[in-house]
Formats: sequence, C-alpha cells, structure tokens
Amino acid sequence: MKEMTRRAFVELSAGAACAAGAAVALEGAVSPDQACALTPAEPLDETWIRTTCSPNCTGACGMEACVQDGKVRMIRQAADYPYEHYNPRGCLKGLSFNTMQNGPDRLTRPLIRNEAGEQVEADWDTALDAAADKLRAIMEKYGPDSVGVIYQVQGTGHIQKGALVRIANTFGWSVIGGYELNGDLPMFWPETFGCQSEELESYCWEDSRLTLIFGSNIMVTRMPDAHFLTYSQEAGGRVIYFDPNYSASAERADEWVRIAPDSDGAFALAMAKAIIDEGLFDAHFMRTYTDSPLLINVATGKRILASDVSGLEAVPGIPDYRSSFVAYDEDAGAFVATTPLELPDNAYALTGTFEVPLKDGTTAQAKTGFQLLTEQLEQYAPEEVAGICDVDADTIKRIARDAANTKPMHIIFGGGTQQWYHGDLKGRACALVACLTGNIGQLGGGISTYVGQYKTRFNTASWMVPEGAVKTSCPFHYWVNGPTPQMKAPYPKNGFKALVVGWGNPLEQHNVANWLRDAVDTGDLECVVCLDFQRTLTATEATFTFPCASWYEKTELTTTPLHPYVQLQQRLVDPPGEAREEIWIFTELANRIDPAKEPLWPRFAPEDSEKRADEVLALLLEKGGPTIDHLTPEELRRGPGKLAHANPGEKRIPFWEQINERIPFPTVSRPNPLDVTSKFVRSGRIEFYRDEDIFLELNEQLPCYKPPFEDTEYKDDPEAREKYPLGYTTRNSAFRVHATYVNDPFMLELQDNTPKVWLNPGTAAERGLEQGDWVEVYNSRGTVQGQLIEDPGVHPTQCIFDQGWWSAYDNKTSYNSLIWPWINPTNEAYYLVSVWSPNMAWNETACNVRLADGGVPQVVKDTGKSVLGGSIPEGSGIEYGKEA
Amino acid sequence: MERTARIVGIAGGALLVLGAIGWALQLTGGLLSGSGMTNIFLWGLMIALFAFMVGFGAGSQIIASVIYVTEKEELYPLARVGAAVGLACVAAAGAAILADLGAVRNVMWMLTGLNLASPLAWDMIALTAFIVASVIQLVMIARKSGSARVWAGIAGACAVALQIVEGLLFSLQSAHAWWATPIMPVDFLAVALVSGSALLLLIACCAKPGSALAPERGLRWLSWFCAIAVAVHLALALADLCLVALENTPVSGGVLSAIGSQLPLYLCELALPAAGMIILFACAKSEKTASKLAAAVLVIIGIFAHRLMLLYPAYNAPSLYLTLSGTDAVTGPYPISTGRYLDWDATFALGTAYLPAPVECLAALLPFGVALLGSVVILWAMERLGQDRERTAAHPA
Amino acid sequence: MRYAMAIDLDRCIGCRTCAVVCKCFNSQPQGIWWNRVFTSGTPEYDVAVKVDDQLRMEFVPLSCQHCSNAPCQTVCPTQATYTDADTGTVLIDYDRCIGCRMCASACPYGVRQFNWSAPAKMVGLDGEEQAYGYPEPYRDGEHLVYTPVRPEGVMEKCTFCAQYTSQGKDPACCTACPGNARIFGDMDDPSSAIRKYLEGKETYTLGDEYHTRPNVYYLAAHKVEQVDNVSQGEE
Repeated sequence: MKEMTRRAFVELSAGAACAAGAAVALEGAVSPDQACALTPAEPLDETWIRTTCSPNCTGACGMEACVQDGKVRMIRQAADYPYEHYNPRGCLKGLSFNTMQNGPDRLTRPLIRNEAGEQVEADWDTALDAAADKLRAIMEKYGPDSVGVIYQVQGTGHIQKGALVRIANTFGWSVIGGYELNGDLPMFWPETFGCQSEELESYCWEDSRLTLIFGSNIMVTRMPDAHFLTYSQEAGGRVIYFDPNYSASAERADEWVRIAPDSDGAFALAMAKAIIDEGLFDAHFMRTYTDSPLLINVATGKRILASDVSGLEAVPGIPDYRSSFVAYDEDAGAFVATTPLELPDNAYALTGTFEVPLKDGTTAQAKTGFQLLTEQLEQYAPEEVAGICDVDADTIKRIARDAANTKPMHIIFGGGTQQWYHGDLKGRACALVACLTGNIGQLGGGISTYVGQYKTRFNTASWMVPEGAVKTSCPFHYWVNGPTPQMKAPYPKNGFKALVVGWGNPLEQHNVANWLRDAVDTGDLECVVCLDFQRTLTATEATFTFPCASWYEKTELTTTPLHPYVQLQQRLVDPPGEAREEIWIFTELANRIDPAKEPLWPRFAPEDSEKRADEVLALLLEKGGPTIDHLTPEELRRGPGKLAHANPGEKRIPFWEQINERIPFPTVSRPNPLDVTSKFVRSGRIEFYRDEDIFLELNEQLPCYKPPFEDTEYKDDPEAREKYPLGYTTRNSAFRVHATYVNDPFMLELQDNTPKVWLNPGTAAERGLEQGDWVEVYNSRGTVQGQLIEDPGVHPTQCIFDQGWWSAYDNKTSYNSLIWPWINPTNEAYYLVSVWSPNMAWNETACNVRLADGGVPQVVKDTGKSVLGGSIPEGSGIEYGKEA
Repeated sequence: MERTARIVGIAGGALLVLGAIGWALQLTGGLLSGSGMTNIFLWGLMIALFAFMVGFGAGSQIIASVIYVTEKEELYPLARVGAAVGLACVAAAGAAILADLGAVRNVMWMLTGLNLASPLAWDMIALTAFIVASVIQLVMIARKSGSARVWAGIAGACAVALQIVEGLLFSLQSAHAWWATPIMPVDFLAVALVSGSALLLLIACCAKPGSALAPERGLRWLSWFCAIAVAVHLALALADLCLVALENTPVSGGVLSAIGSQLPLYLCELALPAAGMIILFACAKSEKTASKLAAAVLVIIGIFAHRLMLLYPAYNAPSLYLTLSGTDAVTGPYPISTGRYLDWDATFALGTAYLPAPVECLAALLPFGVALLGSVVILWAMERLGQDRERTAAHPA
Repeated sequence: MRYAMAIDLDRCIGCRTCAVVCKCFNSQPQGIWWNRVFTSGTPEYDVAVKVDDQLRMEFVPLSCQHCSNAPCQTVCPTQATYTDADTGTVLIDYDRCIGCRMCASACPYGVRQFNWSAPAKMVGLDGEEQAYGYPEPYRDGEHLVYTPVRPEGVMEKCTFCAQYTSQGKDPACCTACPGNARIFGDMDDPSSAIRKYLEGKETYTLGDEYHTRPNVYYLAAHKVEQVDNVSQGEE
C-alpha cells in the first residue's frame, strides 16, 4: 500500500525537481571542496592518561582521560584488557564524569560547624584539630566503639579507602558493615556454601549455554559486563530472565518469565522437584559434595554426630569448627562416619529411612538429608507452585528439564530477588538447582550473586590491620531496632554517638534515612565526620566535612569481582581547591586524636601524599598473598595486572578446588581466615540442611517458600494489607551508581531533571492517576514524590522508584524513608561482619500511591540546570544543596 | 483617501517599529528567548505569516492581472490598489522569512552559494522575479503606459509561479505527511485567489460606496470570484483530509490525531471561509456592502487559521514510526530531542505543543507593518509617478 | 570510499553510552543530542511498549543516517549542508548555515538539532565555565564542520565524528559502545570492519518510505519468548 500514499506524488516530483535543480546548478556554486576527502584534523596537543573508574558499581573500568589546562575534557575507555572481549569497558556515567568533577557541587574546602551551629569553611588545621578533639572526647566519654564507621567497600580502593579501615582498627571504632547495610549480603551463601559469596567473573558468562537470571537487571546494573550474555547467545546459548517487571534485561533475554513478585524461591523448588522426579539430577554431585547423604535424627531435627553413634567415632584430627557426621554406606552396608577434611567419592545412600543405634542405648530414627528434601519438595509440585508464581506447570517443567540437560548452566541470583526478608530461602532454593544439575565448579556454570561491591581479592591486613588493632563491628540494623535478645553481634554499650563516613551519603542512601537525620537533628548522634568529594546532604549536615580527591586525582588500588584485573587509579589532575587525598587526612586525624599513634601513622606533608600512597601500594602488593604478589607497581602504572587463580586455564572457576581437588567447603572469605567461616558448613560440604535451633524453630531447616510481607509488614500492622497493597521496588537506575552521578548534567538531561515513579497503567487508573501526574508514594514510615510514568511492563502489584535521587531534587522527600531494616532471626544464628549478619531487605516494603498536593514543585523544575548565566533564576537551579 | 492612507501608513509604521523591536529582542537573546518553537515544531508563527502574506500578495496580483488582462476597466482603480498591496504583501512575506532566520549574518550565502535544488532557492528566485515584474508593472500602471496590461500579465504569471513554488516548498517535504500531497501546490494557488479576492473585496467594501474603488458591477464580480475560490479551496482541503483519513498508515494516524488536538482551529479554518462563501453567494447580486465586508473578514480570518494549521498537523505528527526489528509490527513513533531542555524539562518528546511566545507575537507585527506601510508608500509613489508623468506631459521640456 | 555504520540491535542494551560520549566528545551544548537511544513509541526511558500484545523494550539508537539521498542537503539553500564526496559523510558548514531550519524540517529522522540561542555554558566550580569535548575547531577545507563553541542560530548534527575519522579513527560512539554493537567503516572496502561484520548478515535501514538511502545499517534483534499471565489477563 506504500505506493498508494499521497507521498508517491511528492517523491516523483521531488526527484524531478532535484534533477532539474541539479541540471541548472551553476558551476560556480559547487564548492571545490566537494571533490576531495575530509581534510585531516590537526593532531591535538593532548595527553591521555590511564586510570580506573571505580565508584560503588564494582565495575572497575579502565579509563583514559584527556587532560588540558589541568582539567579533564574527555574520558574514553582504556580498552587495554588482555582478554579482548573485556574491551571497551566503561559506561555512560563513567565517560561523563568530567562534567561533575569540577561541578558546582564539588567540595573544595574543609567545613566545620561554628558555635551557632552553622557550617562554615575552615582551614585544614582548624578542621582537623576540632574533629580530633570531638572524636577523642566522645571516645573517652562513651568508649571508642561508640564511634561508628561507614565506608564504601574497600574493593573500590584499598589504599585511600583502606586508610579509614586502618584508622577504625587503630582506635577500636565500630565498623558498620556496608555489605549487609546495603542489602548486598546474599545470606544463602554462608548458609549453603559457608562463604561470603562466590561468583563467575563476567567473562565466564560467554561460556554458559543456559543462563537463568532471577531478578538481576544485568543490562542496567552491569552495563560493562552485559555483552558477555550476548556473546553467550551468539555462541548458541540461551538466557531466561525471571522478573515481575519487563526491563532491558527481559528484552535481551531469549525468554522472559513474568514471575509473581517474591515467588522465585517457589519456582526454583518446583524446578528441583521436577528435576528429581524425572531422574535428571546429578546423584554423584549430591552425594560427594553436599550434605544430602548425611543422616538427620527425625525426632530432634539435628544431624547425627558420628561420635554419638554406637560403634562409630568421629574421624580423627578434625578441628573444633568441623564435625564428623553419619551416612549409610551402601557398599559396606553400614553406617560410617563422614570426614569433613576431604570430599571423597563414596557409596553413601542418598535416600532412605534408617534406625541408627546411639551410644546412649537408644535408637534414632533417621533420614538422609536428601530424603527429607524430597519429602519437603512434595509441597512444591509444579502444579501447586503455578498458582504462587503465576507461571503454568508445563513451563516450570520445561525450564527444569532445560536446566538439567544444558551444561554449563549458570544462575544469576540478583538483588531484586535477594533483597527480601526471606531472600536467603530463595537463594538456597536456587543453589539447590545449581547443585542438582552438577554445575558448581564448572566453567560457565553454577550460581553467582553480583550485588554490591564486596570481594576482597587479596590479603589486605598489612595495611588495614595495624599492630595492636582493635577490630569491632556492629550492623546498622541494631542501631535502628535496638539490640535483640538473640543477637550475636557486639553492640556499643553506650550506643552510637559519632559517625565517621567515607564516600557515602547515609543521610540519603540508608534505609530510614529520615530516622538517621532525626538522630543528627536531636543531637543523639553528637558528631558526624564526612569525607567526600561531592556536596551530598551528609556533607552539608555533618559536623566536620573534609573535601577529598576524586578518582582522577589520587593513587588508589582497585579490584572487582567482575573481572580478574588489578588496576590503579592515577593522579591525572590535582584535586581542586584544598581537596586532599584521604590517606593524608586520616594520617593527620589519627595523629591529632592520639599523638602516640605516630609510629602507626607516620606523618607527611600533603604534597607527599602520592609518595605515601606509593609506599602503601608496594606494601599491599608485597604482602597481598599468592593472588597478587606477582604484580609490581610499575606494571600497574602501565595497565591492568591479572590476579592469579588456582585452576588451570584463563578464567578463574569458583569451587574448582573443592570439586577437583576435593578440598572441603567453604572457600576463604577474605579478610577473614578460613577457620572463622568453616563452622558455617561443619560437614565440609555444601549444606542444604541447617539444624541450628532458630532454623528448626522457624521450620527453615530446608529451603522452602514463604510469602512476602507476612512476617514483616502485615505482622507489624495487619491493616497494611489493605492500606499498602503495592510492593515498593527502589531499583538501580541506568543513570546513577546509587546516588553517585545524580548531579551529572548529562544524566540529568536524560531524565528531564525529574524523579519518576513507575506504575502499571491499570494500577494508576485504579487510583485515578495518569501519566505525568506528580504523585506521592507512601506508607506509615515515609513518603517519596515523583512524576508518574505508566508502564505496562510494571507488574500491577508493584510500584517502582529508581533510587539514588538526592532529596534536593525531590521536594526534600527521600525514597529510603519508606524502608525498614527488618531483622530475620536466622541471620542472627552467627555473626561475622559482612558474612553472616542481618541483611537489608529493601524490597520488603509495602506502599501505596496517591496524587501529591501542588503538582510538580519548582525545585524539580529547576534543579540540575547547570547553565552559566542562563535564564534560570539564581539560587533555584545550580545552587541546590549550597548554603543560601 | 488621503486621510485613510495616512491612518493606514501610521498604523503600519507603528506595527513596523513594534515588530522590529520584537525581532531585535529575538536577535539579541537568540530565537529561543522569544519563541515556542522546538526541534520538533521547527517553524512557527512567522512562517505561518509568511505563507499568509505571500498568499495575499500573489492573490491580489493575480486578480489585478486578471482585471487588466481581461480589460475590466471599471475595476482598474481597484486592480491598481491590488497590485500595489500585492507587492507590499510579498515584501512582508520576505521580511517574515528574514526575521525567522537563526543566522541572518550568513544570509549572503543565499547569493554566493545558492543551491538551486533547494525549494527555498526557487522561492527566493520566484520572490525576486515577482518583485521585479511587479515593480515594472506598477511603474507602467502609474505612467498609464500601454504596456501596463502586458506587464500585469507577466506579474500575474510570476504570482502564479510564486504561489506554486510556495506550495512545493511544503509539499516536497516528504517527512511531513500533512504537506507531502499533490493537492498542496494547487491549494496554495486556490488560497491565493481566495486571499486576493477577499482582500480586494475588503478594500472595496471599505471604500466610499460608488467611488472608483467600489464599482457596483465590479464588486459583484469580485464577490462571485471570491466565493468560487473559497469553494474550490474548501473542496481541495476536504479532499486532502479524506486522503489522509483513507491512507491508514501510522503516519496518517499521527496527522489525524494532531488535527484532532487542534480541532477548534481546524474548524475555524473550514467554517469561517464556508460562512463567508455562503454570505457571498447569497448577496453577491445585492448591494449589501456590510455583509460582503463581514464575509471578507470571515474568509481572511479563516485563511489565517488555515495557515496556522499548515504547521500543527505537520510538526506534531511524527514522521518516523519504527517496527519491531525483523517484523512488520509497529512499535510507535520515535522521540526527538526538543532542544528546549533548559526551559521545559522535556529533553525528548514525540510532539510539542506550540504556542507563540509573547516576543514571537511582537516580532510577528513586523510583516503586518511592512504590508500596511508598504501599500501606502507604493500607492503614494505611484501617485507621484503619475503626477510627474502628467506634469512632464503638460510641460514638455 | 563510503563511510557507513552498522548497529546490531541484538547487541544493543539501551545503555545510551553512545549518546553520552557523542555529546561529550562533540561538545554538544545542553539540550542538544546528536545521538539518542529509545524504544520507539515512548519518550521515556525504561518503559515497555506493547506490540502485538507483547511487552517489548527494543532499543534503537538513532543519529544522522548520512543518507546517500539526503533530503536535508537537497533543501539547504546555501549548500551549508553538503556531502563529502570522498566519504559520503553529510556535513554542515556552520559558517554558511543561515538557520532557516528547512533541513531539519525535511529530515524524517529528527536528528538535526538547532541552536535556538547562544549555547548555554555548563556551570563549573566557583561559577567558572565547565568545558568538555574536542577542544579545537575542525575545518574540512574551508568548511567549519566542528567547533567546541557553537555559533548561535545554526543547525548541527552527527558528523561521524569528522574530526576523528579524518585522522583515521572511528567515531566516538563506535569505540565507546560497551556492547560492541556499533561498527564503523568503509562500505566500499571488502576488508573493512563493517563489511566483515556484515558478511552473511541481513541488514535493514530506517525510514525506507522516504527513499533517503541511509548509510546506517541495522541488524535485527532476536525474538523474546514470553511467559506472561499478567498481560494476558489484562487483555
């Protein structure tokens, strides 16, 4: 029909007209330049220097910056990774960092509070002395552990950021683990594998032939790695993406499964049932590497110890943190003591019910872990689970078969799935699928979590743990909730009285941020020390604010779990104004708090900060252990240096040693020594059965499904079911790394300067709302505002706000004010900071949406307009966050 | 007449000054500071006025030429005014185009680097040709030269060409379905006839009854002419609308919805000239000057609405609809960067509501000023030329 | 020689790195985007569009198509828009542009961006201007086709990064794409990166109904199987 449109005439006549025009074109009118190629541009007098973009996205992307007149004008990816598929690595945010590096929000002078409580500029001596005096007084009055420390996880910077860990350990301040505070700690890992977490580096994704992604929006949150999924597809692999909401990752997947919110665990359990029922599971794997054959006393719910069984003794030579359990050896026809010291091939019975004679003369009825598991899975027949997940049984079975029959199969377990009160149960269910299919320890197989920046990839104690260190920590949850009877974590006896924050913005970015602001306002929190390079809300509210160097202005050592390269940040340009490197700031602070610490903190002039950072770099490389000690500072100045790993081949394979060298679980969770975490899996095996009392009490000894909000919101307030019928998801945005880049002018342009709220059109219509309305998301704890976007891709029961907006852009409302740090008691069975600890369940938040009074506020219309001498009235646009 | 001319001249001069102030404001603050235009809505009030003015200019000339060529002598005085007003209106259109340029500083390239394939080049040539022919014609008329009739014919032909070129300027832009139609150049001609006849009718009705400018038979003829021209124009416009409605593509759907969002304006464009036409048909034979005057005013307002509606359905109907790759399924129109992020918080959009900004409206007085003042000055000059001629004839050297 | 670009939609993740690096490297003033990435049908980011009862979010990067039959060049009255004869790149001479906007009006792709006023200067530290992008003007012969400080009232658009391609480098969007979804090269050279990438692959161009003969080639994305009982219920 195209030819029949009215345009047909015009095409003809246009053609004729052009021909006519060309025919009569005057010779002289044709520029002579049209006859030759582009004139080569003069090469620029420019310098490109390599550094590493390493905010809290964990990307650690090698970048080169073009510097002119002491300022960065352009940034490009260094694209110098020896493994070519990693090039070019870097995203829209990192590539536009220059637009905010010297933006109006940059901190350039130390800030202190005067007697009137106003924040004023000060010189370094005054500011450091005042901060040291205040901290010393608080430490003396309330104890050093009343000083809480929040830092951006050290993988993003071991030298400068490590200096904060070192000073905390020097004085015995309480480290508030950011990993659990931010909901990054996937508790199923210590519960199942005994380690903090393990994951494939992203270049292993291309080796997978089936990738199941549960609630991880890889295309947005792992931009520099996302293409490895594409490469896997190009090599014939498939990607199946599970999410209630449609997203970029759903679009790039081969199949999108619109799973009901928080039902991923049920789906995985139904898969497990189907795999077992159809006999598709890897019995050798389950028997050899997991606790499946271990016998459990049905009466007590506890695993039977070899030392309790008549005629058996625990295998000799096992340390305190290990146990020898019992299995039934089918070859020998007898009960045997299992060894936690290795993982030998065996003939243990996977299923069955046994009468086990105990030394006390009684007989225990026992079942294997696998037997109990299969019995447990009876509730999760695909037909039953279909109703929970809103996915038909045939689809569940099909995907289960695919997962069992396609190798290597990799499960990516994302924050969208994890950050719920029962996130650990879902992780345990997914881990079960990875194990049943025998994918653990295989290149391109297994299960990975990529939430947060966590992994410590070499030994860092030489720098971060000084001589005579006092290490203590306490989860943020207890500060808000108060100590609980069953908690194992230490709690400062006088509570938290001071907060030292590095590169973080807790007054915006933490859950119940408004609660923390109140603590500052009421004076309950007596002192906040903030180190940052941007004028965040925390920086403007802090008692002492120290302007720091950005990651183009200092020497820093970075690693990431996503790739195997150690990289440096280098000083391309000087920090603006009086901003300084953190290593100098902390050295001065330590010496001014207690001059006796000088041996641990040798002083140096600010201009020697680079020299000092170089010394620490050399120390860290030298003492970093076998993964890193082959690298030299000189090599790293030139480009990326690859970490060493144990398995043969280019790519590190998690659990390769366990699967191939039969070394017991867990793997090491640095910086903790192995023996501290080994007790989490006493059998030396992957454990699906947990027999700690709290797990038995809550009936969570085996992976199971528990619905959302029942143990939290609805328990707290039964009316919440009706009042707040929507789930509240604060997803990561493509335009920010949490709040970093919120004031990047290019990113603001891409978002119309406007915080937005996403709802399904039906959900919006039920509330009489429509696209473009200025709305308020609310629950009993707080509110956040935004412009409504109707998106049929959003699940009808969900409300989405993309996190990271400073409240200055949002009518002073904070999206974190709605969220509560629920404590799941199973997370308190043990305590090891950032390994086994209460975790933030961001998504466990119910809300509702209504029209906000007054429409789009002027502050939103004006904020972020970074224009010099433009038509935006002074003080309303670029001046946000500044003192009036 | 002297007094009327003076009033019109002063009014024109005042508008010219105000418009010039508006333009100056735009030039100093940038076009943006005085415009509601965007990278989506690229041409605004000034271009609507350009099309409006050029229609009156060409139309008046064509009618004047018809009068001269067919030797309707009782209408010569009116034709003389028509030809003069025609030149002034075309000059006003030229001024409108100049005032709409973003970088008028580079305008010399229109002479030294003209791209003859560009309809805008044709436009400039047609405009220049018209002005030259018109001026010669006016001189001949003023001098009561025998060749006036020939030159009026030539000027009329130039006016027809000019109006067709204006039509092509729009209709060759295949990116805008609302314009890209064979009807467009034809309708431009029809609109010129409507505009010219309505304007002359207006002038005649304003003149003293029975005066040279308002001969009875001539008025009747002009009424018929205008009514028929309106009928032709409306038929063309409705035919165009039908074609759009029948096209049934995503692009044509976009045009219809853009028309829908400007429905009151679109109804004005159709209903006002239609009402004028009915009045004219009804009282063409009678001497109801007031009715004819009202009809002329209705038609002129309707044509102004028509010129605004030249823009809305063109720019607010997206041109690029994409399909899901590898399929025929249409996903929708593709967003465009508005260029107005700093003012509106809308970096990208599918369409932008266009409302002329105050400074833009002020600058829009400029072409009106040129047209009014220009008409008076041209007529005065013709008068002087005629007197000189007579004087020379009376007192040969 | 004929410069061309291939965009593999099967590799595009919609991250907009190409758009941002284009903006920065070419010093595009605030409000101006030569290059943009959207799901057709919505001006919002991160929004699904219903197509044939399926939810989709297909990202299509769009910038100047460097048409072999460029309507913008045809209509430009002053030859400010011209096609570089040797590379086929469509360029604008800022010194010649009169700002009539006819070219933008004629372009069916909406890629032309007008400087409606003097370009807004981005504010930096202490009220200083924050400058970004390629710091020197670049002239193709006498034609000023790039300058970091834009003249007022002229049209601009993608130049295939003429200041870089003239030095034998790839355009910024192609070197920066983290998904390696954008490939640049000479279509007349069988050994060029683009020809090699396209070998054996089916391509398509946008806006074929306008007969512009674009030099930006797209590769289709794969289908997305969907298990969605919610949308089915909504129908």
